[in-house]
Amino acid sequence: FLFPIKMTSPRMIKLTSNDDKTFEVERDVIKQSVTVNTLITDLNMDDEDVSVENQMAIPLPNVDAATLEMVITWCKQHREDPPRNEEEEEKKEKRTDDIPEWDKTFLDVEQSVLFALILAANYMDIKGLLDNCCKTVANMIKGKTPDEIRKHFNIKNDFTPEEEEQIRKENAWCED
Amino acid sequence: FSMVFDSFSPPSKRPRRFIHFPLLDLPNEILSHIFSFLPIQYRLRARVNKRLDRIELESKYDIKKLRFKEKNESRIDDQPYSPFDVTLIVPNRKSNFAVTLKRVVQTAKLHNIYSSLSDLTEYHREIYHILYNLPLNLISVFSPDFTMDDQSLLESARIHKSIEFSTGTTAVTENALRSIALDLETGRIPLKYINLSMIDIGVMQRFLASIGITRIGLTIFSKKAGVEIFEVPVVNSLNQY
Repeated sequence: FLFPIKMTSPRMIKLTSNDDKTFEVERDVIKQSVTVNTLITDLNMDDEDVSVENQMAIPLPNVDAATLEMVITWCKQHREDPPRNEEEEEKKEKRTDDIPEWDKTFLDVEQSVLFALILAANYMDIKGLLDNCCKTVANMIKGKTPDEIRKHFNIKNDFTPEEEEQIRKENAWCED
Repeated sequence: FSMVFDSFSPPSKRPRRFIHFPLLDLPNEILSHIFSFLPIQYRLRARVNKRLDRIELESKYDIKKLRFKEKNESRIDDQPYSPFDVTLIVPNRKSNFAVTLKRVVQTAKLHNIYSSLSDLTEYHREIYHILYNLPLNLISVFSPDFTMDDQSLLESARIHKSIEFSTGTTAVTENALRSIALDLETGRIPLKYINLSMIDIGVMQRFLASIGITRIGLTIFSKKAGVEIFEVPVVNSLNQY
Protein backbone atom coordinates (compact mmCIF):
# COMPACT_ATOMS: atom_id res chain seq x y z
CA PHE A 1 0.00 0.00 0.00
CA LEU A 2 1.08 3.48 -0.69
CA PHE A 3 0.04 6.21 1.62
CA PRO A 4 -0.17 9.60 0.09
CA ILE A 5 2.06 11.75 2.25
CA LYS A 6 1.30 15.38 2.15
CA MET A 7 4.49 17.29 2.77
CA THR A 8 3.64 20.46 4.54
CA SER A 9 6.69 22.57 4.84
CA PRO A 10 6.48 25.27 7.49
CA ARG A 11 5.25 28.61 6.30
CA MET A 12 8.13 31.00 5.65
CA ILE A 13 8.31 34.77 5.95
CA LYS A 14 10.86 37.03 4.29
CA LEU A 15 12.49 39.87 6.20
CA THR A 16 14.85 42.48 4.76
CA SER A 17 17.43 44.31 6.85
CA ASN A 18 18.38 47.99 6.33
CA ASP A 19 21.51 46.84 4.48
CA ASP A 20 19.38 44.90 2.01
CA LYS A 21 19.88 41.34 3.13
CA THR A 22 16.87 39.09 2.98
CA PHE A 23 16.25 36.38 5.53
CA GLU A 24 13.70 33.63 5.40
CA VAL A 25 12.28 32.62 8.69
CA GLU A 26 9.47 30.31 9.78
CA ARG A 27 6.19 32.07 10.42
CA ASP A 28 5.98 30.29 13.75
CA VAL A 29 9.41 31.56 14.81
CA ILE A 30 8.95 35.21 13.90
CA LYS A 31 5.54 35.51 15.54
CA GLN A 32 7.49 36.41 18.70
CA SER A 33 8.04 39.81 17.10
CA VAL A 34 4.80 41.70 17.72
CA THR A 35 5.76 44.23 15.04
CA VAL A 36 6.32 41.59 12.35
CA ASN A 37 3.36 39.50 13.49
CA THR A 38 1.03 42.48 13.24
CA LEU A 39 2.32 43.29 9.75
CA ILE A 40 1.81 39.70 8.59
CA THR A 41 -1.76 39.73 9.86
CA ASP A 42 -2.56 43.21 8.56
CA LEU A 43 -1.16 42.42 5.10
CA ASN A 44 -3.07 39.12 4.98
CA MET A 45 0.20 37.30 4.40
CA ASP A 46 -1.14 34.19 6.11
CA ASP A 47 -3.13 33.60 2.94
CA GLU A 48 -2.20 30.03 1.88
CA ASP A 49 -2.23 30.80 -1.85
CA VAL A 50 0.82 33.00 -1.94
CA SER A 51 4.05 31.08 -2.38
CA VAL A 52 7.13 32.23 -0.56
CA GLU A 53 8.78 33.21 -3.89
CA ASN A 54 6.00 35.67 -4.66
CA GLN A 55 5.76 36.94 -1.19
CA MET A 56 6.67 40.47 -0.33
CA ALA A 57 9.64 40.77 2.00
CA ILE A 58 8.96 42.74 5.16
CA PRO A 59 11.43 45.62 5.35
CA LEU A 60 12.99 46.34 8.74
CA PRO A 61 14.61 49.74 8.15
CA ASN A 62 15.93 50.02 11.71
CA VAL A 63 17.75 46.68 11.86
CA ASP A 64 21.02 45.70 10.17
CA ALA A 65 21.71 42.20 8.85
CA ALA A 66 24.10 41.12 11.61
CA THR A 67 21.59 42.14 14.28
CA LEU A 68 18.60 40.66 12.44
CA GLU A 69 20.44 37.37 12.18
CA MET A 70 20.97 37.35 15.94
CA VAL A 71 17.34 38.26 16.54
CA ILE A 72 16.25 35.32 14.37
CA THR A 73 18.64 32.99 16.20
CA TRP A 74 17.14 34.12 19.51
CA CYS A 75 13.58 33.62 18.22
CA LYS A 76 14.46 30.10 17.01
CA GLN A 77 15.85 29.22 20.41
CA HIS A 78 12.73 30.54 22.12
CA ARG A 79 10.11 29.23 19.69
CA GLU A 80 8.85 26.71 22.24
CA ASP A 81 8.46 29.31 24.98
CA PRO A 82 4.90 29.63 26.22
CA PRO A 83 3.26 32.72 24.74
CA ARG A 84 3.78 35.75 26.93
CA ASN A 85 0.85 37.00 28.91
CA GLU A 86 1.63 40.64 29.67
CA GLU A 87 -0.80 40.69 32.57
CA GLU A 88 1.05 37.76 34.16
CA GLU A 89 4.39 39.40 33.38
CA GLU A 90 3.25 42.48 35.30
CA LYS A 91 2.66 40.36 38.38
CA LYS A 92 6.05 38.67 38.17
CA GLU A 93 8.98 39.74 40.27
CA LYS A 94 11.31 42.00 38.38
CA ARG A 95 14.81 40.73 38.94
CA THR A 96 18.06 40.43 37.05
CA ASP A 97 19.26 37.02 38.24
CA ASP A 98 16.77 34.96 36.24
CA ILE A 99 18.27 35.25 32.74
CA PRO A 100 18.29 31.73 31.21
CA GLU A 101 21.78 30.23 30.74
CA TRP A 102 21.42 30.11 26.94
CA ASP A 103 20.53 33.81 26.84
CA LYS A 104 23.41 34.70 29.17
CA THR A 105 25.88 33.12 26.75
CA PHE A 106 24.05 34.52 23.74
CA LEU A 107 24.13 38.05 25.16
CA ASP A 108 27.77 37.84 26.23
CA VAL A 109 28.73 39.91 23.20
CA GLU A 110 30.53 43.09 22.38
CA GLN A 111 28.83 46.20 23.84
CA SER A 112 27.87 47.55 20.40
CA VAL A 113 26.15 44.26 19.53
CA LEU A 114 24.15 44.27 22.76
CA PHE A 115 23.21 47.90 22.12
CA ALA A 116 22.02 47.10 18.57
CA LEU A 117 20.07 44.09 19.88
CA ILE A 118 18.23 46.22 22.44
CA LEU A 119 17.16 48.71 19.78
CA ALA A 120 16.13 45.88 17.43
CA ALA A 121 14.19 44.02 20.14
CA ASN A 122 12.45 47.28 21.02
CA TYR A 123 11.63 48.12 17.40
CA MET A 124 10.53 44.59 16.53
CA ASP A 125 8.69 44.39 19.86
CA ILE A 126 10.14 41.10 21.10
CA LYS A 127 9.53 41.46 24.81
CA GLY A 128 11.40 38.37 26.01
CA LEU A 129 14.58 39.41 24.17
CA LEU A 130 14.22 43.04 25.27
CA ASP A 131 13.77 41.98 28.91
CA ASN A 132 16.85 39.76 28.91
CA CYS A 133 18.95 42.47 27.21
CA CYS A 134 17.76 45.07 29.73
CA LYS A 135 18.50 42.70 32.61
CA THR A 136 22.01 42.25 31.19
CA VAL A 137 22.51 46.04 31.25
CA ALA A 138 20.94 46.25 34.72
CA ASN A 139 23.55 43.73 35.87
CA MET A 140 26.28 46.10 34.67
CA ILE A 141 24.80 48.83 36.91
CA LYS A 142 24.17 46.60 39.91
CA GLY A 143 26.76 46.68 42.66
CA LYS A 144 28.50 49.80 41.38
CA THR A 145 28.94 53.14 43.13
CA PRO A 146 27.76 56.26 41.23
CA ASP A 147 31.36 57.02 40.27
CA GLU A 148 31.92 53.48 39.01
CA ILE A 149 28.71 53.74 36.97
CA ARG A 150 29.88 57.03 35.42
CA LYS A 151 33.22 55.46 34.56
CA HIS A 152 31.70 52.26 33.16
CA PHE A 153 29.23 54.04 30.88
CA ASN A 154 31.32 57.18 30.30
CA ILE A 155 28.66 59.48 31.74
CA LYS A 156 29.45 63.07 32.58
CA ASN A 157 28.35 64.31 35.97
CA ASP A 158 26.20 67.35 35.14
CA PHE A 159 24.85 68.00 38.63
CA THR A 160 25.59 71.22 40.46
CA PRO A 161 27.49 70.64 43.74
CA GLU A 162 24.20 71.36 45.59
CA GLU A 163 22.25 68.78 43.55
CA GLU A 164 24.98 66.24 44.03
CA GLU A 165 24.97 66.79 47.78
CA GLN A 166 21.18 66.35 47.80
CA ILE A 167 21.45 63.02 45.97
CA ARG A 168 24.29 61.90 48.19
CA LYS A 169 22.08 62.58 51.20
CA GLU A 170 19.11 60.79 49.66
CA ASN A 171 21.24 57.76 48.95
CA ALA A 172 22.90 57.78 52.37
CA TRP A 173 20.45 55.38 53.94
CA CYS A 174 21.30 52.63 51.49
CA GLU A 175 25.05 53.06 51.77
CA ASP A 176 27.19 51.40 54.39
CA PHE B 1 14.20 28.75 -2.76
CA SER B 2 17.12 30.69 -1.50
CA MET B 3 18.22 30.86 2.06
CA VAL B 4 20.28 33.90 2.71
CA PHE B 5 21.86 33.10 5.98
CA ASP B 6 25.10 34.90 6.05
CA SER B 7 26.59 34.22 9.45
CA PHE B 8 29.95 35.67 8.46
CA SER B 9 29.13 39.25 7.65
CA PRO B 10 32.27 41.27 6.93
CA PRO B 11 33.58 43.23 9.90
CA SER B 12 32.99 46.52 8.10
CA LYS B 13 29.24 45.84 8.22
CA ARG B 14 29.40 45.50 11.98
CA PRO B 15 28.49 48.60 13.95
CA ARG B 16 31.30 50.69 15.34
CA ARG B 17 32.94 49.18 18.43
CA PHE B 18 32.38 50.93 21.72
CA ILE B 19 34.65 50.99 24.72
CA HIS B 20 31.71 51.94 26.89
CA PHE B 21 28.18 50.69 26.62
CA PRO B 22 26.33 53.74 25.19
CA LEU B 23 23.69 53.77 27.91
CA LEU B 24 22.67 57.38 27.29
CA ASP B 25 21.98 56.67 23.61
CA LEU B 26 19.07 54.46 24.63
CA PRO B 27 15.59 55.98 24.53
CA ASN B 28 14.02 56.98 27.86
CA GLU B 29 11.47 54.17 27.90
CA ILE B 30 14.22 51.55 27.62
CA LEU B 31 16.27 53.22 30.36
CA SER B 32 13.15 53.19 32.50
CA HIS B 33 12.68 49.50 31.70
CA ILE B 34 16.28 48.80 32.76
CA PHE B 35 15.65 50.68 36.03
CA SER B 36 12.58 48.55 36.67
CA PHE B 37 14.80 45.49 37.11
CA LEU B 38 17.13 47.11 39.65
CA PRO B 39 16.85 46.84 43.43
CA ILE B 40 16.03 50.18 45.09
CA GLN B 41 19.50 50.98 46.36
CA TYR B 42 21.15 50.37 42.95
CA ARG B 43 18.44 52.26 41.18
CA LEU B 44 18.99 55.27 43.38
CA ARG B 45 22.74 55.01 42.89
CA ALA B 46 22.27 54.89 39.11
CA ARG B 47 21.04 58.49 39.08
CA VAL B 48 24.42 59.70 37.91
CA ASN B 49 23.32 62.60 35.74
CA LYS B 50 20.28 64.87 35.38
CA ARG B 51 18.57 62.80 32.70
CA LEU B 52 18.93 59.51 34.59
CA ASP B 53 17.75 61.22 37.78
CA ARG B 54 14.58 62.36 36.03
CA ILE B 55 13.97 58.96 34.40
CA GLU B 56 14.46 57.20 37.74
CA LEU B 57 11.90 59.48 39.33
CA GLU B 58 9.40 58.72 36.58
CA SER B 59 9.90 54.92 36.66
CA LYS B 60 7.51 52.90 38.75
CA TYR B 61 8.59 50.68 41.60
CA ASP B 62 6.76 47.43 42.14
CA ILE B 63 7.07 46.51 45.79
CA LYS B 64 4.58 44.23 47.48
CA LYS B 65 6.09 44.40 50.93
CA LEU B 66 8.24 47.18 52.24
CA ARG B 67 9.83 46.51 55.61
CA PHE B 68 11.53 48.94 57.90
CA LYS B 69 14.06 47.84 60.38
CA GLU B 70 15.99 50.06 62.67
CA LYS B 71 19.19 48.27 63.29
CA ASN B 72 21.52 47.45 60.49
CA GLU B 73 21.83 43.75 61.20
CA SER B 74 23.60 42.93 57.98
CA ARG B 75 24.72 45.01 55.05
CA ILE B 76 21.85 45.58 52.64
CA ASP B 77 23.93 44.21 49.79
CA ASP B 78 24.32 40.87 51.55
CA GLN B 79 20.63 40.30 52.08
CA PRO B 80 18.82 38.01 49.71
CA TYR B 81 17.01 40.39 47.45
CA SER B 82 13.46 40.18 46.32
CA PRO B 83 12.08 43.22 44.53
CA PHE B 84 8.65 42.43 45.93
CA ASP B 85 9.84 42.26 49.51
CA VAL B 86 12.15 45.12 50.33
CA THR B 87 13.70 45.83 53.70
CA LEU B 88 14.79 49.37 54.38
CA ILE B 89 17.05 50.06 57.28
CA VAL B 90 15.91 53.24 58.96
CA PRO B 91 19.17 55.10 59.51
CA ASN B 92 20.12 57.68 62.07
CA ARG B 93 17.69 60.52 62.48
CA LYS B 94 19.74 63.13 60.66
CA SER B 95 19.63 61.40 57.29
CA ASN B 96 17.26 62.24 54.46
CA PHE B 97 15.51 58.89 54.70
CA ALA B 98 12.05 60.48 54.69
CA VAL B 99 12.88 62.40 51.51
CA THR B 100 14.13 59.25 49.77
CA LEU B 101 11.13 57.28 50.96
CA LYS B 102 8.83 59.94 49.60
CA ARG B 103 10.56 59.65 46.26
CA VAL B 104 10.26 55.86 46.22
CA VAL B 105 6.66 55.55 47.38
CA GLN B 106 5.26 58.16 45.03
CA THR B 107 6.08 55.95 42.06
CA ALA B 108 5.57 52.61 43.76
CA LYS B 109 2.80 50.11 43.55
CA LEU B 110 2.90 49.26 47.24
CA HIS B 111 0.74 46.81 49.10
CA ASN B 112 2.05 46.28 52.58
CA ILE B 113 4.50 48.20 54.70
CA TYR B 114 5.86 46.50 57.77
CA SER B 115 7.78 48.45 60.29
CA SER B 116 9.42 47.10 63.34
CA LEU B 117 9.95 49.90 65.80
CA SER B 118 11.36 50.40 69.24
CA ASP B 119 10.26 54.00 69.45
CA LEU B 120 7.75 56.44 68.12
CA THR B 121 9.50 59.74 67.72
CA GLU B 122 9.04 62.88 65.67
CA TYR B 123 11.28 61.19 63.13
CA HIS B 124 8.99 58.18 62.80
CA ARG B 125 5.97 60.44 62.59
CA GLU B 126 7.59 62.21 59.65
CA ILE B 127 7.97 58.85 57.91
CA TYR B 128 4.43 57.77 58.75
CA HIS B 129 3.09 61.08 57.58
CA ILE B 130 4.41 60.23 54.09
CA LEU B 131 2.87 56.78 54.15
CA TYR B 132 -0.39 57.68 55.80
CA ASN B 133 -2.26 58.83 52.74
CA LEU B 134 -1.15 55.96 50.56
CA PRO B 135 -3.63 53.19 49.82
CA LEU B 136 -1.64 50.48 51.49
CA ASN B 137 -1.39 48.43 54.62
CA LEU B 138 0.89 49.91 57.19
CA ILE B 139 1.73 47.27 59.71
CA SER B 140 3.93 47.89 62.71
CA VAL B 141 5.39 45.42 65.10
CA PHE B 142 6.70 47.08 68.21
CA SER B 143 9.91 45.82 69.66
CA PRO B 144 10.42 44.63 73.27
CA ASP B 145 12.35 47.84 73.97
CA PHE B 146 9.31 49.95 73.32
CA THR B 147 7.17 51.24 76.15
CA MET B 148 3.68 51.81 74.87
CA ASP B 149 1.71 54.55 76.58
CA ASP B 150 -1.66 56.10 75.80
CA GLN B 151 -0.24 58.77 73.55
CA SER B 152 1.86 56.32 71.50
CA LEU B 153 -1.04 53.92 71.16
CA LEU B 154 -3.45 56.62 69.98
CA GLU B 155 -0.83 57.91 67.59
CA SER B 156 -0.21 54.43 66.17
CA ALA B 157 -3.90 53.69 65.86
CA ARG B 158 -4.31 56.79 63.73
CA ILE B 159 -1.58 55.88 61.24
CA HIS B 160 -1.59 52.10 61.02
CA LYS B 161 -3.87 49.55 59.49
CA SER B 162 -2.46 46.86 61.70
CA ILE B 163 -0.54 46.94 64.97
CA GLU B 164 1.25 44.07 66.65
CA PHE B 165 2.11 44.88 70.20
CA SER B 166 2.78 41.55 71.80
CA THR B 167 6.10 42.25 73.45
CA GLY B 168 7.49 45.07 75.55
CA THR B 169 6.04 47.00 78.43
CA THR B 170 2.91 49.02 78.60
CA ALA B 171 1.39 51.88 80.51
CA VAL B 172 -1.77 51.91 78.39
CA THR B 173 -5.02 52.66 80.20
CA GLU B 174 -8.61 51.73 79.37
CA ASN B 175 -9.21 55.37 78.36
CA ALA B 176 -6.95 55.03 75.31
CA LEU B 177 -8.57 51.73 74.35
CA ARG B 178 -12.02 53.27 74.65
CA SER B 179 -10.97 56.18 72.48
CA ILE B 180 -9.69 53.78 69.79
CA ALA B 181 -12.89 51.73 69.97
CA LEU B 182 -14.89 54.91 69.40
CA ASP B 183 -12.70 55.86 66.45
CA LEU B 184 -13.17 52.39 64.97
CA GLU B 185 -16.90 52.66 65.39
CA THR B 186 -17.09 55.98 63.63
CA GLY B 187 -14.65 54.88 60.94
CA ARG B 188 -12.33 57.80 61.62
CA ILE B 189 -9.17 55.67 61.53
CA PRO B 190 -7.89 53.11 59.03
CA LEU B 191 -7.05 50.55 61.72
CA LYS B 192 -8.20 47.03 60.90
CA TYR B 193 -6.32 44.83 63.31
CA ILE B 194 -4.69 45.35 66.65
CA ASN B 195 -2.96 42.81 68.83
CA LEU B 196 -2.58 44.02 72.38
CA SER B 197 -1.40 40.89 74.17
CA MET B 198 0.76 43.01 76.43
CA ILE B 199 -2.08 45.06 77.84
CA ASP B 200 -2.73 44.44 81.53
CA ILE B 201 -5.65 42.05 81.97
CA GLY B 202 -7.34 44.35 84.48
CA VAL B 203 -7.14 47.27 82.04
CA MET B 204 -8.46 45.08 79.25
CA GLN B 205 -11.40 43.82 81.30
CA ARG B 206 -12.38 47.32 82.40
CA PHE B 207 -12.18 48.46 78.80
CA LEU B 208 -14.23 45.53 77.53
CA ALA B 209 -16.82 46.11 80.21
CA SER B 210 -17.06 49.75 79.20
CA ILE B 211 -17.96 48.78 75.62
CA GLY B 212 -20.48 46.18 76.71
CA ILE B 213 -18.42 43.01 76.71
CA THR B 214 -18.57 40.91 79.84
CA ARG B 215 -17.13 37.66 80.92
CA ILE B 216 -19.07 35.08 82.80
CA GLY B 217 -16.88 32.19 83.73
CA LEU B 218 -14.95 31.25 80.58
CA THR B 219 -17.51 32.64 78.18
CA ILE B 220 -17.49 36.15 76.84
CA PHE B 221 -20.68 37.91 75.87
CA SER B 222 -21.25 41.00 73.84
CA LYS B 223 -24.20 43.17 74.69
CA LYS B 224 -23.38 45.72 72.08
CA ALA B 225 -24.91 45.65 68.61
CA GLY B 226 -22.29 45.18 65.92
CA VAL B 227 -19.68 43.82 68.28
CA GLU B 228 -18.89 40.20 67.70
CA ILE B 229 -16.67 37.93 69.70
CA PHE B 230 -14.51 35.80 67.45
CA GLU B 231 -12.30 33.80 69.73
CA VAL B 232 -13.27 32.35 73.03
CA PRO B 233 -11.85 33.02 75.46
CA VAL B 234 -10.67 36.36 74.15
CA VAL B 235 -9.34 37.92 77.26
CA ASN B 236 -6.74 40.26 75.99
CA SER B 237 -7.01 40.65 72.28
CA LEU B 238 -9.36 43.03 70.65
CA ASN B 239 -10.45 42.32 67.14
CA GLN B 240 -12.19 44.76 64.99
CA TYR B 241 -15.94 44.65 64.88
